Amino acid sequence: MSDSSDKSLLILCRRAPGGSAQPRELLDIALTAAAFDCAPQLLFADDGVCQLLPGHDFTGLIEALPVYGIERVFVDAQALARRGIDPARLLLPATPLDAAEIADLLDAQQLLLGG
Amino acid sequence: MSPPLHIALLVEASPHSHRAATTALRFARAAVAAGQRLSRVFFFGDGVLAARPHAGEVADEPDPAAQWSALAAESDIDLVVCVAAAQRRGIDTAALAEGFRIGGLGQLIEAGIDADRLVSFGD
Repeated sequence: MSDSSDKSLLILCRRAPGGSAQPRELLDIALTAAAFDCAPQLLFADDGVCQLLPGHDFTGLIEALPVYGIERVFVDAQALARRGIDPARLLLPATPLDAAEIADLLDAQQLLLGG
Repeated sequence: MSPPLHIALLVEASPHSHRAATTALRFARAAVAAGQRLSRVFFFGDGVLAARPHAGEVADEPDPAAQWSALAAESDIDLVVCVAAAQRRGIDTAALAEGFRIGGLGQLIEAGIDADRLVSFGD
């Protein structure tokens, strides 16, 4: 296998935690990528921002992301505002981004998964 | 002519519920036909349902497992099914359709790193 450190990976988490297995399975991809030293980044957007709130089935995993080496976690600030979510309530300190910053972040990636 | 592009696919959509699973198969065929190098297809989420042999298909409906099996046999494509996703969905991982093998998410990450393009098909 080639050197993993030279490819940037962003996982886009856009779905609410309770609707299907997809949100949890995407996080499994992120954890595996972290285990392979790929330094995955996460962006929570649309209904996916609700994964950062308490009260669903995998809150423990969300809180533990930094422990697994996933430290670059971003959240769509507009998606939070639209849903009336106070960033102080989030399970972990995700970096809020505006639309232009999100565009730059997506543009900078070599690998993009999720949706 | 430019050298072939090294492509890998991620299939997350159920072959029974979403058009995306069929689109993945058609994309794979087109990539091979165009002379590109398709090394691996990784089945994850509900996409793993494509690996069940003869998954209750009606006589005049296509059998997704058989279609993938045929393509893999012709073109030497590695069809990898995520073990955790398959077990969660009650798939007998010891009896996958021809050409499919069981694997783990590490093989998806590896494909993402090694391929020039990782193309995903979700619902």
